[in-house]
Amino acid sequence: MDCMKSASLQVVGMAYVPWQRWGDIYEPCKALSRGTLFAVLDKPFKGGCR
Amino acid sequence: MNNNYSGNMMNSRNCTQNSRGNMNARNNMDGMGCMNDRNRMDGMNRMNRMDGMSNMNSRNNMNRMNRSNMGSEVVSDKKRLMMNVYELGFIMTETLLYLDTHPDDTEALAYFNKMKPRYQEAVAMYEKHCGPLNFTSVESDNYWTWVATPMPWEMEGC
Repeated sequence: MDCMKSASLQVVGMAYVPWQRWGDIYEPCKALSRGTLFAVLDKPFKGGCR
Repeated sequence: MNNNYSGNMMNSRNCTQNSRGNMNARNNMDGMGCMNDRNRMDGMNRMNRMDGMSNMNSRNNMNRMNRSNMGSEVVSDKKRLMMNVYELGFIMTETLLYLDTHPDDTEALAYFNKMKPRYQEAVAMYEKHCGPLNFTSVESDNYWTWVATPMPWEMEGC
């Protein structure tokens, strides 16, 4: 778990994903429509055709 | 989250639905789909026709309007029951995927334990009114109820 808590152990050239914490969850109806229960993972697609 | 769907509560139902799709289509062609509700709807239509043969006073018109609305209410109620299963099933899946990587998270466990009965209740409500969602819910003495009701995506057959 230390490697997740300490940025000093991270090395260049590697990708790291922050550890998810429980909290800020959606109501069931919103979760289904947003495609995730977790507000932190709610990443709407911003790209597409211009 | 992650790609581990081994514990996905909805998966068994979805797989079963897919494998059952052809069977149910054949069943509908036989005209046996959703027997209970189809009979109820037929009953309402017959009552409407009887109203039409009697004198057309305003009370009969109101009765007919109420009865014709009942059909759409039945379908919308079923959609609502199905949506409850979808919504609660989805958050159960999200929670168990989180727990796969956070098995000692007491808050997540508390949420799982709080929502599980709500999900089970939603499934029970759907199955009570619309038929089994999983083969474990089939209780058949003299008729295989799995094919007696429409599949969840066949609401128009009700």
